Amino acid sequence: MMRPCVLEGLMLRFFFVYRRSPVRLLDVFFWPTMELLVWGFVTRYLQGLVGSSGEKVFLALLGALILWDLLYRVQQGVAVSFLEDVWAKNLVNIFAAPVSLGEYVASTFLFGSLRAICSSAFLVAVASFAFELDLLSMGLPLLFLVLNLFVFGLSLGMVSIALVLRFGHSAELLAWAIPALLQPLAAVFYPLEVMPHPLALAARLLPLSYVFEGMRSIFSGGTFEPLSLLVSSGLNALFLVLSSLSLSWSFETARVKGSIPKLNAD
Amino acid sequence: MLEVKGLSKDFDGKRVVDRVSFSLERGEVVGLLGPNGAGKTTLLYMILGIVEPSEGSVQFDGRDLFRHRGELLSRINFFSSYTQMPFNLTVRENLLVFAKIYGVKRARERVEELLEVAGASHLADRKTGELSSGEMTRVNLCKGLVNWPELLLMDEPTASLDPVASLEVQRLLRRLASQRGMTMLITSHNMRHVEATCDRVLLMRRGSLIYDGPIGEIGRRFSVGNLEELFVKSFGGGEAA
Repeated sequence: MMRPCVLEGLMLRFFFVYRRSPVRLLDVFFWPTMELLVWGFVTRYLQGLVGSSGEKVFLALLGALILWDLLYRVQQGVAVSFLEDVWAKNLVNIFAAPVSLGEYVASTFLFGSLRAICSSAFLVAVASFAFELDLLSMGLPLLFLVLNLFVFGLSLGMVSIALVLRFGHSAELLAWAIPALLQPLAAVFYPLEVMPHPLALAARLLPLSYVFEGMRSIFSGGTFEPLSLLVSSGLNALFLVLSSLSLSWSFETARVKGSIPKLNAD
Repeated sequence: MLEVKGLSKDFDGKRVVDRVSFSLERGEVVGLLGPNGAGKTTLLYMILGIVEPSEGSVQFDGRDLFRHRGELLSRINFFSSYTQMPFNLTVRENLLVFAKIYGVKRARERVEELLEVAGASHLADRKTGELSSGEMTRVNLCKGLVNWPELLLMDEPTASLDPVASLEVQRLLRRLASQRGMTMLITSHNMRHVEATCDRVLLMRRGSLIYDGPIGEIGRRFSVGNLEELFVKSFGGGEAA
């Protein structure tokens, strides 16, 4: 059972960190906006070359960029919050306190989600103003896509923590790289049919490919098929269970091997 | 209050804590002594559940500490000279976070109270990362007391302190033990600190508990004049009787 006081304490820490280091807001607003502007201008240039037929491609690329950023922020919110406790040598203090692993992950997820919502809302506003992209016009399907991204971001975040617990500081790089490693398979910026057949098959095992295919379908005037939604949600649930189990196993193994104090000391 | 029964730990097939058993009564201040690698810190971490014991059990107030971890740990606390807190937060912010985590009601007032008790009020608005090691020890102590624990576990609390600061900390601990009936288990290399603070001593060597008794009886038991002599004799090349 999650205790509100524990979640409040853990969350409070993140708010204090941001209040003390406003430069971190660059990560939430500035860098994603720069990326959006660069891609926006590139795609507008390409659209000019191919004419009005490129309009849908243009919208889909920018939409994908914003949704991908949302996934990335959630994953980073979970993984980097944990790494910050490692770097601050605070991990032993946290787990010597009455904090369960579930409460700890929940606090990082809540904070990561809040960060992702702020970042995405800002990007949607910038995209609307600068490129006349109205992502919200997708309506209710957008909510389903976003929920799927939140859940998958949580799963990736938990896998990142599990890797650091299992392999120590050497796995820290993976916590940053995991989303990028998955990106080519996730059909974020291109449809599945342009991928080689074996890769497309692998992509269908990721809930992300259904999310981004769904988004492109909506931008092309179609709908997000209920079956795709079902498969995506089912895969997401499966990944959530598997990542929870892997984190739980890594945490127990770390307790057996004494890795938590070692991570704290190195 | 605390009952440790047959606690052992193996790392990669090597036994680092070997069937250690002892109990702590309410209000007792007990020193846990031993050379580096004796297994003292591992023992503390096992009590806290950060390291999983290979065998044995820990009971707190008659209840299994591992089974009721979340509930019982809110009545226990821990501090170490070797842990830190987020360095870009102020002392007050860090303590407030831990007060909330431990479920302290009127957390802000508790933080101010503790800062005063530990003589650290002047550090409240300083960033934790800017503190000297002596100042950090005071702040760590405040964190350890944030829930006014019934049992306080301390790992080398005076390791980075000069003699004057060390004396202040040991007086404070003694005062807390007598005024609040707080039970304390302290690992230390500082023999004078242990002699001045503790009622009883647990002596560990190569993972085993080789002595559990009052400080006053150590001289007779090991034919030494004081703890320091015992340490040198037992762990500095000589053998304990």
